[in-house]
Amino acid sequence: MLGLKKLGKGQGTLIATIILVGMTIIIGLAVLALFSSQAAAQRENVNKDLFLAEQSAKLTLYRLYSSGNVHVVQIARTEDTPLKIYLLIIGESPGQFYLNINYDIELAKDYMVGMNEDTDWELLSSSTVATYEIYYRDPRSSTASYSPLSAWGLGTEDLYELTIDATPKLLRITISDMPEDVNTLWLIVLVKLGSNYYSIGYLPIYYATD
Amino acid sequence: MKPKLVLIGNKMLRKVLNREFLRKAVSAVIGAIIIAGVFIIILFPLMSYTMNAFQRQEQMFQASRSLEIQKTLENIELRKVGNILYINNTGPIRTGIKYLIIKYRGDTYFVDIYGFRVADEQGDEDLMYPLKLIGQEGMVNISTGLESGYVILEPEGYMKIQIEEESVEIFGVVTTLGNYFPYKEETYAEIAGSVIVQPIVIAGTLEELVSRPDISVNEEYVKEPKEGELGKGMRRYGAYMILYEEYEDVDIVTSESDDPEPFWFGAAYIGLEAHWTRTREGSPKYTIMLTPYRPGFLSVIKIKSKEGEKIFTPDSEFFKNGMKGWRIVIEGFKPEDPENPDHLRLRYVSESHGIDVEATGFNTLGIWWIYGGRDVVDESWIKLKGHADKVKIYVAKSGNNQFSYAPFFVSMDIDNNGIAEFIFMTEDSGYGFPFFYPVSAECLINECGYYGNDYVVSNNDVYYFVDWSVRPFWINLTGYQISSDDYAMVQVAIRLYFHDNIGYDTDEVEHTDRVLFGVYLIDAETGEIVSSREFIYQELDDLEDTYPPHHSFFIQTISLIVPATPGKTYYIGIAFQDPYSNCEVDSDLNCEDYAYYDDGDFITAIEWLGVAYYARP
Repeated sequence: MLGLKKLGKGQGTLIATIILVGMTIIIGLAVLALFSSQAAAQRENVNKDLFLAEQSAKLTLYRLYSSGNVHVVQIARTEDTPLKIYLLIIGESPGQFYLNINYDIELAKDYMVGMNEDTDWELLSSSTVATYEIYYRDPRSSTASYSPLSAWGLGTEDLYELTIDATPKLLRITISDMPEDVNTLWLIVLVKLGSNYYSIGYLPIYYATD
Repeated sequence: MKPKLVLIGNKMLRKVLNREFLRKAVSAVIGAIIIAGVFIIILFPLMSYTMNAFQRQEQMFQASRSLEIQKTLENIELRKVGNILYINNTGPIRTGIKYLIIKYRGDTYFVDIYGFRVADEQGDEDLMYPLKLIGQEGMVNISTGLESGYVILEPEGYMKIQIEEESVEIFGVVTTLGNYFPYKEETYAEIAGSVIVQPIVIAGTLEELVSRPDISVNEEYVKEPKEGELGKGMRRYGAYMILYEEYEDVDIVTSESDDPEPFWFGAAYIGLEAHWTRTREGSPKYTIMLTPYRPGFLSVIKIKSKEGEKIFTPDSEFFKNGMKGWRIVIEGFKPEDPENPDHLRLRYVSESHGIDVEATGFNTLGIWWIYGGRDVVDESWIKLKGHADKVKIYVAKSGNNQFSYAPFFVSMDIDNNGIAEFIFMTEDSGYGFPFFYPVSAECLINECGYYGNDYVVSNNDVYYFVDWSVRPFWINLTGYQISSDDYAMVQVAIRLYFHDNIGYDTDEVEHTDRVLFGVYLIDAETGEIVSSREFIYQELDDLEDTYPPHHSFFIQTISLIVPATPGKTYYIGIAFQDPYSNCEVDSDLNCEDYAYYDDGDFITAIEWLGVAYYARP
């Protein structure tokens, strides 16, 4: 009798341990699932930020020349792998963005191109994109987060398309209509991630004092 | 009743294990392991991912920083002589060039430099009109498509472009990193038409010197001397020098243990490594050259390489079995802990001259001569612990062979101005002086008794480190062609310093007119010297003090007239030599008529040259 009693007590303890262990595993897996889903979303954001920061670090973008409403810029990557980019010009005055600027962006097509020789340049192809699909960061802040351009107005923008690599490319930007209040014109370089466009480079091509 | 944890046998053990508190403890441990496991499963990937993300961010930051540093190092100079435009890379790094900006027919034009290659391949002379590439050196075409690419100019590389239409105005060039270098007409001085100054830095390793496209040297004079292949140019009294051991990528410490201990030297040359001083990337790197104090000081240097560990005791090891001295060159030395003073510490004491220095890190920069214990200097040493890119140990072996200049050249920046000096030094350990003074009153120079230069005495044995040149060593700046049609004169500004180990200066030198250093204009076709400026001992002697040791940088300006013969091309050559031996050599290079005067050893260091070209009117 004493032996059976002892065996029963042992079984009870074993069953209790199994239940406790089982519950712990179930709770653990539930917590894991909860964290994983949150971590996956977080990881996706971090991956996106890292990708955009990497593309930004590999971009070289310089204004070479400006005369009146015509500006020439040089753009390239520091590594020789192609990257498709999208170009956008926006105007800025303190606390305000202007999206309704008319401009053309052309690519040099000869080895010698004259700033005013229209036949030396070819217009880049463009596509129309809704402003809520375009995400930008304040060019003057390195810590600012992305926000949609639609914050400054719902509508569409024409994005010029270009593929760049380590060979610098020469672009001519001609502004045909600019709001009077604009004191800075920004050339914004974007890349497409999923269905949205994110800025990776900014170049002021015009200041009111120019 | 408290359990007795005394294990006497299985029965007792079972009894103890059955105790309630132990079972609880075991459950708690299992529970803790399970909970910890769950946390590890969740947290480990998160932590690992976060660390990875930080690492990538750091890499990007470094890449972007490196790009900014590269941008600051780029330097392109444009000069125009007549209708010829020169685009020179005068910076220290390879530089990509894409666009030349010009004014042509009233419009601003952007000229893709790569078009010159396409024009050349297609045989289309009009493609780049009104410009034509007529010469280049160190220019590399980088193709990134069928007809697209850019051009890289190596340091000192240049492009020579003919401007075929007078109306063309040059604005500037743009590099692939976005630097814009304008053409500045105002850099022309109104002397003889025009002056263009071109800076040239010679420093770098001997291998780099040999491989530079703009400089030509005789490889026999700079090859590392090895048994059977000693090279040419130098002699040492009763010995010849060979590269005894060479190591790359090693840890060194001046101790048998891992705690650095004093290492005694005859002279310590300590400077910043030639590349580091230019880029300043990472913690400081030094180049150090050490020569013998005198045999008997058993300081050691331990070298740990991939192959294993080796301990050298130079002061005893290299003064026996036919060996008669040493030189150790440590290139790219990085103290293991820059904050630890013992990882680069120098002690330098000369009681008779009132010198007492204790320095660490940057403060050790300089040349420190001990002079073989002739003064009371037994407290002078160096401590090192860290990593070196290269360690070279030269030893002197008995014999009368000629050998190369390699053991006597080192490149380092001792004045911390970002430009390394190219140093030729035959000075090792001792300075000389006469028994009687003043010499002229007591005896004639060739009759007086002397303590010889660069020799040390230990236990009544005399060790000579007297070196001299059999032939001068030439550095020819063949990449900087000087056309007699374009130029009437070149002016070479040169920054250098000088030192000798002749304690009583000209009082112990009979032939004071021997040439130590010269700058020459050479006919590129015949090799004939057409114009020159040589520096003799008498002149250089005033620029230094043997002891207490003192040397100063000075700048010399040398004018060389370019002969007016049409169609000739010239280049500038620089020659070094140590023309003072302690013996007259016979035709077999054996010493005859040994003497203790006219036996000086020297240091001649060049930091940079600036060549100004004066146009022919």
